[in-house]
Amino acid sequence: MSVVIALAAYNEAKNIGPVIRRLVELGYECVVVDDGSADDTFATAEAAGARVARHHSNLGQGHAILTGFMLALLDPQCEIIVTMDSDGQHAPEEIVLFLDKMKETGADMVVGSRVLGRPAERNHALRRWFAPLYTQILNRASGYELSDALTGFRAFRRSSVEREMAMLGQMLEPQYLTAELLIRLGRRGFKVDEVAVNIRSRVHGVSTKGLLRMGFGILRAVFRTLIDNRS
Amino acid sequence: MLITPLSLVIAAIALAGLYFVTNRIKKDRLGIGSAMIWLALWASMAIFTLFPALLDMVLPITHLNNRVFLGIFGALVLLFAVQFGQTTRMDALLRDQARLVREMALVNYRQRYGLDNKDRRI
Repeated sequence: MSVVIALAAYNEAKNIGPVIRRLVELGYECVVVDDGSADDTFATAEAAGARVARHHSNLGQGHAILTGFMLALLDPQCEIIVTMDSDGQHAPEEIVLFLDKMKETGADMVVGSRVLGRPAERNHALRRWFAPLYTQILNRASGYELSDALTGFRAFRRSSVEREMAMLGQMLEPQYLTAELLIRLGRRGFKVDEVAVNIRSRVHGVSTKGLLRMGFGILRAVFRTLIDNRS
Repeated sequence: MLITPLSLVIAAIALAGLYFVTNRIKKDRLGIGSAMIWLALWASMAIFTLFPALLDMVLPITHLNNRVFLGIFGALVLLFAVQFGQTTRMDALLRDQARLVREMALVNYRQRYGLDNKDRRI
């Protein structure tokens, strides 16, 4: 199966190089969306072997992942699209677990679960409390029973994504793509499965994701998607 | 009509506001929707400052006890209306910005890596 890895990166020049190099070593095609970084993320990712697109201003991770999807779909060989973090927290070696799961169950999407695997060692206490709560809300809204609905480590079958391409272009809350996508997939009867993943600590820098802002955004995305009757 | 120094100052500010709004309309730098809101705001501020007794005519409609409550209530309603308008507009602008930034990124990507620019399905 031909796999394209889509990574969103914002000021990750220090972390992204080893991630891309490892992915290329493993034989994966990588597309990176530099989400308006002020550092050398673009040059570093390209030098490491990825194809890179640049957002000229910072739109946020969800928007960058959405662009990553579109870039991956430009590759006619691509059969599976995998999204993962560019900061080294997701292990490239675990991508094979997603592919195996897809083969085994025929899932349209496979989500990495930190609950089934090992979460990051330096996890904020609030994140430990809120992540299960948000997961429950998303499960209720989507009809799935996932143990961790918030991780960015995911695999999508191209044929399924292409079938719903119009949906990607009309996302209400692209910044909170994870939440909206899950509800829309659930509404359309897509098969979603999960695999255990082990999260590693970042080597350089700190995450820029604000927990409360993210939570509020997820709730807004859930609400807007639920009242949207386009799909 | 009770004119105090403070009411004169407020009336002057309101009239200055009316002048700025009409000026902006003339120069075509203010949309008709926003212009109506601001004209109504400054005009009502000028009128009610110079003729506070007019508020007594509105009080029975609102079931409020006195002018101060009416003033606060009116200001809050107006504030929320303006904020709602701004938020909606900002949302639309951010959406447009994201669409343009994404489109630029895709076009540049296709050019950089020699991909067919005609295949624009999304």
